[in-house]
Amino acid sequence: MSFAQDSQNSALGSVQANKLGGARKVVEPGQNAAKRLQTELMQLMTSPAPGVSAFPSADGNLLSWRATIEGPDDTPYSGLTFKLSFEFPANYPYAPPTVLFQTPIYHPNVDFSGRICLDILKDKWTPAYNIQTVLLSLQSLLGEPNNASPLNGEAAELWDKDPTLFKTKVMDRHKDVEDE
Amino acid sequence: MPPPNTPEEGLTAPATQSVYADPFRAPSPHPSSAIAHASQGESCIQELDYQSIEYIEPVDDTLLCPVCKTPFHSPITTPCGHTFCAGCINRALETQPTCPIDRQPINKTRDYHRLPLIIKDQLDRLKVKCPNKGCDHVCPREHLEGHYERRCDFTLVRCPEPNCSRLIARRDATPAKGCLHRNVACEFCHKSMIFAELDAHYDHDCDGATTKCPGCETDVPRHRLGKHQSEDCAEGQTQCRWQAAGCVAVDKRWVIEAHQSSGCPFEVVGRLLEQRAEDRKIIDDLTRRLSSLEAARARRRDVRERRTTEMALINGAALPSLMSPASTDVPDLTLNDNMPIFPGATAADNGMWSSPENYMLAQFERFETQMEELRKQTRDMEARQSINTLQHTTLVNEQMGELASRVGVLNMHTTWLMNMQRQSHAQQRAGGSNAGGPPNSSGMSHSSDTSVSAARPGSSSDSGTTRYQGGSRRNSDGRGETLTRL
Repeated sequence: MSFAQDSQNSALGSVQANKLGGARKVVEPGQNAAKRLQTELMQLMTSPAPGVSAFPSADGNLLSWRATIEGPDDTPYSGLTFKLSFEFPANYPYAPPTVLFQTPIYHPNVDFSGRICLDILKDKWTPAYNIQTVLLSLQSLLGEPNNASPLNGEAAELWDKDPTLFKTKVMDRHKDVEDE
Repeated sequence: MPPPNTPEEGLTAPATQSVYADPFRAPSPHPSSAIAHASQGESCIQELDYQSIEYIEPVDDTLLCPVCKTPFHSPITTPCGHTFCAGCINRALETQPTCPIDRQPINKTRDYHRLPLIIKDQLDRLKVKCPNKGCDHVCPREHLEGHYERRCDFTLVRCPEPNCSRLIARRDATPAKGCLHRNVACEFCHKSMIFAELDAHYDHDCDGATTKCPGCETDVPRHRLGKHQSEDCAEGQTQCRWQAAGCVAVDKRWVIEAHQSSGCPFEVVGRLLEQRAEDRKIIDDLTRRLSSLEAARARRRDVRERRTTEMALINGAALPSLMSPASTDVPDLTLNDNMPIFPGATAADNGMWSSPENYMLAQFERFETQMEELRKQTRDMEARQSINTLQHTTLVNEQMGELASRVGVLNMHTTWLMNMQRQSHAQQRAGGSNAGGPPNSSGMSHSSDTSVSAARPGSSSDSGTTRYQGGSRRNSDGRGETLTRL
């Protein structure tokens, strides 16, 4: 009996080495991102900020969201609603999400395919940002574009030079998009 | 192969089995051996993930890490004063050596501050639920790790089978059960799965889960068929309810039920027996209470006797008069708040109740004083209450007076405004009928103006005044028109 147990133990020992090869199992990064996004979703549902909203896209993938921003009053975008898409990397929040305007928008810092030039979505990103703060930053970017580093040069020029024409271009460019 | 209808018996081994189990591999429910076991570093494979713990009560926002948005886990504070989970800040610093909140540079190796212990205490006390599926354990967070790693039956550990590299819930990881990862086919739907999941499969997603009972033709879960046949099935064999009273009928359940409802001859006896059993129970209960009461009485008597003898020793010959029921020492009894309700309950130094009558009298007096006190308090409260009410009423009255005066002023304004409007209308109508053509259009625009002002009842005094001015201007214009026309 004792012999049998001994042999079993030694056999176990060798398998054990295999099993313990990677020490203890650590949570995968993707899982962490999903957890954090769940928390954010909860926060967005319980205490929504006025003028912005966000929700995971319909396909059940928590790493892809759809968001909307209402154009702030006293800006050329007042009364317009903009749809955006958020794609989160697996190591979110340690890396920024990829944010695109789905609704066509005429803005000095957004190009015609919806890409946004905003420092906090690039090198100035910190893990303390979240969806809500990003949306609020984008909302304020609508009213206060950074004309020093434009993606749309014409818009940056018109912003100061001819606000009326700018407003017209904004209205011309804006059109509602359907969610896919 | 386990018996077909009882897979759960194959899974849940009796706790005693772990005694035979190899302590090196199989966790045992005894904490001491569990700790010894953990010290060998192999009880728990998956580290407790603090971010996925469920907190029972809502946690204050200030205790949430800005990075992972969950309550801090082993928090540290940066030189700029911001606090993060150690894991979160270290990971953030890998990409950028600055504070995630204010972007101040941080030297990872030595800049951290220790967190005040009070924060640690707050975090330790948060009530959390064990993250393991199936475990309902709730405890303060500081105890969770011990529970999860050493005691929880649902924590995943290595399979006891040496050649198997998969994980299994701790309660199933005993050599007696062997490796539960062997593949079996569900005997009902023939789906292939590991043995450990068989029971859950039966209960939730087996396609062939229900079957018709051969007796009563109702749908029952397959693995519960045996239980159904022995307990519920109408076609199953059963005995009459009054078997204890002497009935010997044994038949199918529905026959027996008919037999019982149509009146089993033994029913009368059976009911009598039941009645008797109930009475017996009551009598037992009463006997028990009586004996306990008697014991208490005897104890009390003992105490009294002891006290009497003590008194006798102290007072000598004075005792007999004190002991007599007619003794008049009642007024001397001091009313003591610490006085025991039961004289035998506390030490004998509290009072000297020479007889039950005296004791009762003293109690009575005590209650009366308490009553008096209560009455006084009630009067006091009433007085305070009425003063309070009076104060509030005055306040409300004042406010109401103020409101009434404001309404009066508003009323005046409205009347004045209405009169103005009416006048201007009358004049315009007069003007319009006189001149026809062009003035009509001005009349139209005026009327639309009025409708706007009517739709927005003067919300503030400012807009009110502008309206007045507009009205008076229009009025004078209108008058001018009529004058020129005349």
